[in-house]
Order: sequence, then structure tokens, then C-alpha cells
Amino acid sequence: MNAPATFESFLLLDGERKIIVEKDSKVPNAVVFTISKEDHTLANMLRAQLLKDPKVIFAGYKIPHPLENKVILRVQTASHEYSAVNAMENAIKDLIFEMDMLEDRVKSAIANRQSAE
Amino acid sequence: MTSINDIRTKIKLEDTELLNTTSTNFPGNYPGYDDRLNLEEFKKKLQIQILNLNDTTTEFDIIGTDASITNAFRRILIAELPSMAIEKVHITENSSVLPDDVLAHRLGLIPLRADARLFVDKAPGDTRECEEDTLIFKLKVICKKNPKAIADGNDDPKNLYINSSVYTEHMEWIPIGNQATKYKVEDIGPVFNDILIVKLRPGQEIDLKLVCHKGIGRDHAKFSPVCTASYRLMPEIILKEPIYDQDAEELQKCFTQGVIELEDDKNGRRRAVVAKPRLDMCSREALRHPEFKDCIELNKIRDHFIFSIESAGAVPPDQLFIDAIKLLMSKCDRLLQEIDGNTNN
Amino acid sequence: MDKTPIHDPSMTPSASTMPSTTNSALQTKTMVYVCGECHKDNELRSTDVIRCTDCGYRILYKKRTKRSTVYDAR
Repeated sequence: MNAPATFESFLLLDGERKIIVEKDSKVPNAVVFTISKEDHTLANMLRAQLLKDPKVIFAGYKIPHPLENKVILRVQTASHEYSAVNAMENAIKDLIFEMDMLEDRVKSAIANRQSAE
Repeated sequence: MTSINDIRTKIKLEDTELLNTTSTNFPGNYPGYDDRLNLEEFKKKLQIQILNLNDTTTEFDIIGTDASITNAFRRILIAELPSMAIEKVHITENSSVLPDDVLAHRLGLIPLRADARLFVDKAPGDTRECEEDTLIFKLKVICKKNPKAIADGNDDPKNLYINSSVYTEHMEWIPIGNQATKYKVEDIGPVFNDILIVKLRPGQEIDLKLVCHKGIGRDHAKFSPVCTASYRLMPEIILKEPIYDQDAEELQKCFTQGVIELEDDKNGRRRAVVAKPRLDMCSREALRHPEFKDCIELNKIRDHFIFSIESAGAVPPDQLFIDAIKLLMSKCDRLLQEIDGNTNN
Repeated sequence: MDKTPIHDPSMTPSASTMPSTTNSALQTKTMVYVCGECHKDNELRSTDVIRCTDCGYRILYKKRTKRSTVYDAR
């Protein structure tokens, strides 16, 4: 009866921001990204991608509560010339590149199969 | 002793545990390995091999990606790709044995053939019925005694009564606005015409209006466009020593049929060979036998995924996978834009 | 989500559409009841004996509302 409405898990509330970028004051060169209405799908993928970056010394995410539809992704880089925001942008760009390639490969595989039939 | 290369690329199956289950190929983890993201190498390693593909199911291999990416596709296929489903049921008459709410829930789970890409999302709380976001079906069935029933002791309800079973074929599409010109009759409707909805007896009747909306699986499982979407890792079986005759037969029985085959060698003995590791369901039975424990090795290859999709019927599975890639890309794009907007402020 | 059925507010009878309680109306207004025994439809006025005209059974049931109720298919 008091369950939250199901659409709350994917629709942004009025005035809610998709992503909040905050500096982590306790350690140098660390940033905490709070991404609303996202879950393991995106966060785990980003985490793995960020870890592939040699200048990233920490990348991890958590979902603080199962009823709060947000993920908190913390990223720390080795130096201030290359900030965590830069690392994040690069990670996303690389991911998009990989998706693009995957899409090409899938499409050509399907086309090959259909022409073989 | 397992080599570093094996730790990086394989999951090892022991009799009581699994070893090296998480990816560790990150920069700085292993001296002498360059684990930086290399898009050229990714391009070289990435492979898609389709094993089978038809209107409802597909199985294909994805080689060369990380589990986090493959898992993202699986999660998107199940929970984030949209499809159409019955959302509201207006009940004018229901004298069947099923209570109203049970009947409504049952109707909600019927897979619909409508292509969700042609519809727009409905805002929560919006009760208007617009042609862009709503499909309407009528379901009015009255059960009667069959006057032409053959009176030979045949007490089959199908013989005795008319409309004793309500199937999805009784659903009648009511186009709203210019839907009648926009969609063909054969494109809109339930995926299967022979899904039993409820059984009736003479005097019982249902009179319903079914209102369908677009939604995603995260909202309710009825909106999921797939029955299942799953992946498993490619098994690898290594016979470290040759196994012959009686032992070979015994080994064959430890695995799924077809995994191990017997081969005649030059000396007239039958030798066990690994024929189709793909078929193995990774039971680890062989490791319980002391005679095999030290001469076989069971692994799974970490970057070789056997992905299978079973569509609910509205969209073919290959199209679903392409849609999943597009959706993930648009998610990434959105995030990139939001980060740019956020840091400029 | 609230699972209780929602009544269309426009269909809720207001005071003006309620049957008037004058004596003549009471005499003519009939209601259909279903026999609990033989399931026959009985048209009864408020002054009639509550009894099935067919089988004489004394337990009668009201018919389901003709209003449509809306359920969530969840």
C-alpha cells in the first residue's frame, strides 16, 4: 500500500537533475557522481571502463538503498591535470565507440547470415 | 600452478569452488602486461558469431568484451526496452468464476504484437486515450447452450456450449483517431490467438474494454519484450593426460551428452577427446572421481559469452539486440551531455 | 499502485438522478433480483414479497452494477 510508484524508478522527478558532480573533499583529485534513475546496468559498465584507464586510481559505485533509484560513482585520478570528470568523459566516449563497433559487427553478422540463407 | 595468463582469462572450476571469477585485467595489476584500454585491439578481438536465429529465438557468441558490457545488454533487454501491454481493464460485466482483479491481471500478461517503437510513452496519471500512446481492444463474450449439440453422451463443454472458452482471438481491436489508416489489422493484436483467458458456462458473460499502454520491464514484467535473455561463458575442458577405454567411457558419462567423444587411435584403443565443449553444462561431476581429478581441468573463458534471447513475439530477437545497443548508446550520450552541462556551470 | 477499482465520477448517481421517493414512484419502480436457488431474474416492486416467482426461494441477490469499473492489469 505504501510502495513507491513504479515509474519513480525511471522517470526524473520535477527539478531532479540526472547527474550531480561533487568534489570529494577528503582526498585529492576525487569526484563523486550521483546519477539519478540509473542502476547496475550503467554504473557497473562505467566502473569497469574507468578502471581500464591507467590514470584512474579508484573507481567504484554503490546503490545506497534499493528504494532510492540512484547510483553513487566515486572516481579518483592520479593527478589534478587529468581530473575525474575528464576520466569519466573519456570512459563514456570509449564506451560509445565500443557500442558503435559492436552494433556494426552485429549488423554485418545478421546480414551475412541472411545472405547465406 | 596456474599461470598468470590463465588467471587473467579463465575461470577455474574446482570441485568445491570457483577460482578467478572477477576480471582483474586492469592497468597496474600485473607487471609486464599492458592493460590500458586499446580500442584497436578491442576492434581486433571483438567477434560476433550467430549460431541460430529465427523469428522468436537467437543464440550467438560475443567474443572479446567484458562481462560488465554483456550484462548491461542482458539487463536492458529484460528491463528497459519498451513494449505494449494491457494496462487498464474497464469491466462492464464479469460473471465468470474469475474475480475482476484476477482477470485484469491475467489480461495484462498477454503479449501483444504491436510495435512499441511506433508509440509514445504515457505520462503517469494521464487518463486520456490518445492515438499516439493507447491501443484499445474490446472483449465481449457471452456463453450459451449449443442448440446443435450432438446428444450422444459427449459431455465436452466445446460440444455442449458456445463460447465456453474465451481465447485471445476474441479480442477485437478498436482503432482510435486515425489508427485505422496508420496500422494494418494484422499488425495489431495478441501475438498468439489461442491463449486461454477464462472459461465460461451458459449464462456467464464478460464485457471488457482493454486499454494498452507502452511501458518498460522495470515498471512491470508484462512490459518486457523478451521471455528470457541470458548469457553463459564458454566452457573449456582440458584433458591433461590421455584417457583410454573403460575410463574414457566413464569420463564420457560425467559430461553432458556430446561433449566427450571416443576416438580410435593407432594402437586400437579408444581414447576420449573433447568434441563440443559448448554443450557442457559445467556439472563438475568428473572432479568427484579420484581417477580423473588430476588429469582434467575445467575452465570457463572469461570473454567468450554465449548469449541467448527469446523474444516475447512483438519484435524479432536480432532487432531487439540492436535496439538494446542503441538504447545503451543513447544512455551514454545523455550522460556525457549532462556532465558537460554540469561542469560548465 | 492502488488496486482498488476506480469508479468513473460522472457515472455516480447524484441527488437529481436518484429515484424520487413519492408514493406513486414506489409503486411502479421495479428492480431485478436473481434467485439464489434457480438463478431466475425476478422483477420486484418495493411492496412485493421477497420471494422467487418460480421456485419460491426466499433469498434473492442484486445484480452487478452496470457501471464500468477500472482495474489495473498488474
